[in-house]
Amino acid sequence: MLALALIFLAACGGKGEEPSTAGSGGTGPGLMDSLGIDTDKGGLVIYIPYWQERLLTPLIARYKARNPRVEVVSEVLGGESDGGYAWQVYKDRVASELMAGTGPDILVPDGLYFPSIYKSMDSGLFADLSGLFGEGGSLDDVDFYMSVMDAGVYKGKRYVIPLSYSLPLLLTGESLLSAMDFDIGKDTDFAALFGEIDRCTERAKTDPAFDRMLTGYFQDYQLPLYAGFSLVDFERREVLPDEEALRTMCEAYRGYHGENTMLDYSTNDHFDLLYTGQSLFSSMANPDANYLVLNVEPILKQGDVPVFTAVRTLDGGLAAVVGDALAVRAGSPNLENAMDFIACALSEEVQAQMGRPYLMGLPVRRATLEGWFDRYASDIDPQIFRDALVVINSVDRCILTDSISLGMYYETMESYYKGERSYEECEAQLRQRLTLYLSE
Amino acid sequence: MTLRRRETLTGLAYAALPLAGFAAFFAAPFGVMILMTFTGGAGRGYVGLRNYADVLDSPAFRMAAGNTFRFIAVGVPSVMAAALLISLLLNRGLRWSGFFRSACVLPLVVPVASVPLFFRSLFERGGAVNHGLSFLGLPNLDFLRSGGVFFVLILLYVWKNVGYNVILITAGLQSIPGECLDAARVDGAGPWRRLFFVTLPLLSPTLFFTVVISLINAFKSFREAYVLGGDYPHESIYMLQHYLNNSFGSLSYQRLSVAALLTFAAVSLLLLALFLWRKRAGEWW
Repeated sequence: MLALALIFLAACGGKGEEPSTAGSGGTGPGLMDSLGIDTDKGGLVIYIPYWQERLLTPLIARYKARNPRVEVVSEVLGGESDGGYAWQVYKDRVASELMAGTGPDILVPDGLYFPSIYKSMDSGLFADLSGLFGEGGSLDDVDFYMSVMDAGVYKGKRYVIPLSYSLPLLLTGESLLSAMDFDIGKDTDFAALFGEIDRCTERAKTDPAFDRMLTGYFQDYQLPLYAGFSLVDFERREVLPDEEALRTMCEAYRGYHGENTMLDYSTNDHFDLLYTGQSLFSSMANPDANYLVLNVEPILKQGDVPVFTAVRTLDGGLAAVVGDALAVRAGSPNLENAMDFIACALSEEVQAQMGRPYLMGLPVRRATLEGWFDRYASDIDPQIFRDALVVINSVDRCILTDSISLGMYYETMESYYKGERSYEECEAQLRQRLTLYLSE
Repeated sequence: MTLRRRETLTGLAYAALPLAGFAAFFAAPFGVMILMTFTGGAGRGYVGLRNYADVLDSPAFRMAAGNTFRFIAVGVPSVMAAALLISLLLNRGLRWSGFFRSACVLPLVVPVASVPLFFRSLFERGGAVNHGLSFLGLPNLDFLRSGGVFFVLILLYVWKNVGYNVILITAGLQSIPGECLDAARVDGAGPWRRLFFVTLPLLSPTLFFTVVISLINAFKSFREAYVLGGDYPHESIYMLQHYLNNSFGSLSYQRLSVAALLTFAAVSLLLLALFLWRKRAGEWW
């Protein structure tokens, strides 16, 4: 009976609808209908993760001001009372609604909420937003750092739209570097950087000046992304596509990892400077990812000359990592409004109104970054900005965070970093786990 | 209204509430799950058998299915053999049998997550087993990151579940009439002949029930493998439950539904085959 039922259903079936980039898509009752909202004017449903409230709430306000006829329904999910698990509230709500074929129109494709971002794209959870750029689109490629924007392109379609990004750009003082005999030059790569840190580690333990240099919880599991290689190439279905880069980076990082543990933040006098400081071109606000990024004001106050050093990938490129990003749910009945929302968020006007506190990193719009200099560092020598811009413009790749594979790298390589197992053993295990992950 | 009809209606009335609960919390979600297997992600609509093709084509699913059946093929006979042996020994009325009976049951009351952690610490690289091997001058083995983890899992499964089977089989042994064994003894049957021609045939209903329960428990055996190896363990213990759990985590609900349905179908067919075989073989198997 079951077999007959299956055959009957298969005969009735066919290709499912592909998400459309124009007009309304989606099947089944939308959330707007269940909320009794008149969708003739169009609507938009946005769930705001608590940790992204700083970004989305002002964006929604600006969108509403521009589109008063659109009924925007927004809800903040999670709060202070959820502590470190505020992200789980958003994830659970969105996951359960996606399972039911509904959900908000705007999605936040962060690694926390979509730990397997590429698989989510393969599962057809995100709408194709290719129509935003290019001919007929409301956004122009030349206005953006497209090497960053293209992080959201997968199998020829644009599913994720980055709003900000971070990159391993070091900012320190020339005299400070010289005084510490810390030789990384204007350009370095991760292998050389960790090698230099390793060389200085003994001195760093006794010389208090190094507190300002070698700080931050360096156990950053996004290291492979900043070092410019992905652990799994989902498009080519390949695991560890760049074995040599992984090996070089791990061997270089090992010495540093062995010597540095989590900072005791309560006793580190300089922690405040790093975490809440007004660093001009800091990478992610999270100090865990601030590779030797220092506050530029103290550098200038001491009469020192700020020095920018790009920590390049092993093949000489510069990799960025997506910070804030947005996506649209496939099958959303408000696809046009959702795309308009994203276009609004990326518009020159809105980006100019928003400032550094809203974004987790550097803005993807070129003009906005230049505006930041005028806005936040107008008393600094413009040459400093020009030097930084040269580096920023050299970003040639940007990868989305796949939390699952990065977590595997972090867990598996930990025993190598601690000297418990050989690199070959850890690499073999990592390869086996990633292969399993890819083949699911 | 006839008495029979009245009794039927009365029975249905009493069963209405549990049936409603069954419908609401099992049948309805199960039906929704079946429908989901024919739809695309994010409410995209009907896609025919595409999800089934994707799942059956997935190397991970095939590996998981193979590992699960291998685990059952090794684990269930092992736990049954161990339980039968222990039950037969306990049934002989040996000294301290009460204590050993209680000791068999203790693994059942130990929290599920604690047992695998304990086994992990035993079989880790620097664990007690490797210390013992070093003491004997033998090389250390990486049990948990090699194919040896499969046997660690089997050992864990047997240790955890043997107690439950011992209770069932012991109860079955004690329900065997003593006169049958006495008669066999009088007729000159030795201990082995009594075991194979009297005890086991009379115990077969209990054994059959225990096998069925063990099979179902083996399919559900995930927590132990998860604690031993995580989401993506060594490929020898990557089971169907891992595939289901990971599909859920990566929001691949359609694939999850298909895999769950195929697992349900496999378990059902296996049990059906067992029941049919038992029916054909009669009471003795």
